[in-house]
Amino acid sequence: MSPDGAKRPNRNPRPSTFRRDGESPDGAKRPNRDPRPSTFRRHGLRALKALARGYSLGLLLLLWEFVPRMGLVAADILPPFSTTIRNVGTLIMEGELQRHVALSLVRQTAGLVLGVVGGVTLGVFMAWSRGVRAFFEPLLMLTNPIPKAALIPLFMLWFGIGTFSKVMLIFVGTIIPVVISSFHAVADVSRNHLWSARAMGDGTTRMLLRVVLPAASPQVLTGIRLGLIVSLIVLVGSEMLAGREGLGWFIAYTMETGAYDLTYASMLTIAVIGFCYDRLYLALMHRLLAWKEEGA
Amino acid sequence: MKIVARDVSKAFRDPRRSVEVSALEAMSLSVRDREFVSILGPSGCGKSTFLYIVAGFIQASGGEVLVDGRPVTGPGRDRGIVFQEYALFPWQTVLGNVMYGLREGDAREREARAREFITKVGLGGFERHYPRELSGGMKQRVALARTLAYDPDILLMDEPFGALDTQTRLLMQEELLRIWEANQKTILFVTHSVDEAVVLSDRIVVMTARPGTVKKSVEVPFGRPRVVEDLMHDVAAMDLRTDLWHLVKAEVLKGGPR
Repeated sequence: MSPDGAKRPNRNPRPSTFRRDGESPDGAKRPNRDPRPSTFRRHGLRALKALARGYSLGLLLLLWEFVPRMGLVAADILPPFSTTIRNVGTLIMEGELQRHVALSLVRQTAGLVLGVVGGVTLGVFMAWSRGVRAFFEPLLMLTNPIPKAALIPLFMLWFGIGTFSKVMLIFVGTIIPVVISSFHAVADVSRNHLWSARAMGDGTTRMLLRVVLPAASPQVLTGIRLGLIVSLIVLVGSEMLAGREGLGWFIAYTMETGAYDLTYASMLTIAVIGFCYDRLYLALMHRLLAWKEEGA
Repeated sequence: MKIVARDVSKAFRDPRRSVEVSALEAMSLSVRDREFVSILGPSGCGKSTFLYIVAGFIQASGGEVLVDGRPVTGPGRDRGIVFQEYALFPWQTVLGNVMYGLREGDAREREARAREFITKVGLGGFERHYPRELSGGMKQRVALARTLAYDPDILLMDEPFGALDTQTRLLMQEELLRIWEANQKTILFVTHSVDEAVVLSDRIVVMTARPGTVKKSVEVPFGRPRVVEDLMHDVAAMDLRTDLWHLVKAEVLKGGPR
């Protein structure tokens, strides 16, 4: 017998470009007309659309370039975009920028990894044990609304001004959104999924790894994305306030020494890193959640 | 006897009013090896609760359930479950889902066995699809294949076709009969549909309204193999359906206005 009502996956949700004007849906061609828009037109259209999507950004960059050039703002307060790009290049050639970027990323990654591992673990335990939940929930409710930047002096006092105190701060900043999302996600795992796994003979470990974590992954991954953003904010903030290295410190240093052109260069670097980081993470998330409905 | 339930009762705590609500009371039932027994009752009568106790998912407040003479203490691979909905793992393909419960043999052998059962339920060619790409009927076929593939002695089915449209439901009933007749297992099948119970079962246990207990156990006199269409217009089947409906109706009305 044939399977009932098969739904084929729609891998290409956009209407076919080939059928736009020349061809009617039943495939009959109209006379004297090339049914397909030319390759040039299709590519041109796509490029135009991409451009249209980012046009506000283009406008901003244009303003950045021409406002100082036209003398509306002094060039040492706001160096033009092209000059800033050149400054980034110079900093890279001197090897200065990489050093700070590398150190900052190491700190951020260490804190984030600790926060994710700790957060998911704690989230699972909180969802599964009333005692663990009762212990940690008030603590989380108390610490969650505190702006993590306000903790910087405290952490300096406890852990010094080096890498360790920054990693700890990032850890605290990222673990909170990860715990909260993991806790809710694990508590929300469908009863039928858990029971199905149990009926097939799963012990707790196998069920956790192969049912609970995959089921919880959409919310957990969203929580990690929040943690990622927090980690960058806390990182730069803590570096600006203390230490002698790292991107945040470099920004503060250029400000103090009046090298505003380099301030812009380092800020641009951070912006680009943050943007790329988020995009990469989104791409990873999309891959991991390919099994989900659109909009994962 | 394959399954013996003696005086099973279950009380839940209603969290809003902090009172005990009795879902099952003195429910006793025996199922022979390879028997197909349906539990028929109005919604809310505790029939699913009873099934979950047999499955070992929840514990009875009183009484006992024996499977092969041993008391049930938790879920086990001797008792497979098919739920009404939302039991497939959406992050796994059809193949991954059906392979999930397989333990014996290496990966290749397990995959071969999974493919065999996917074909058996009529889904050959859909191995790499994700559940979201399947219709409701196809999902239930996969759920059935997943449970059959690891070969439990007993199938516990909790309104497995309850969320399907009428046509698909009829097709699935035929499919289940075909599979069961080829590969007999003991089946405990929960439903609120009189028609479904008559078509499928050897015996129908009608339950009372909450707190649920056995109201009457009715033998279904039709031989096997059965053809679903033949039973639609069979006079004896019609009489049986009418009798059963009267039994169920009394219980539905006890639950208050609908």
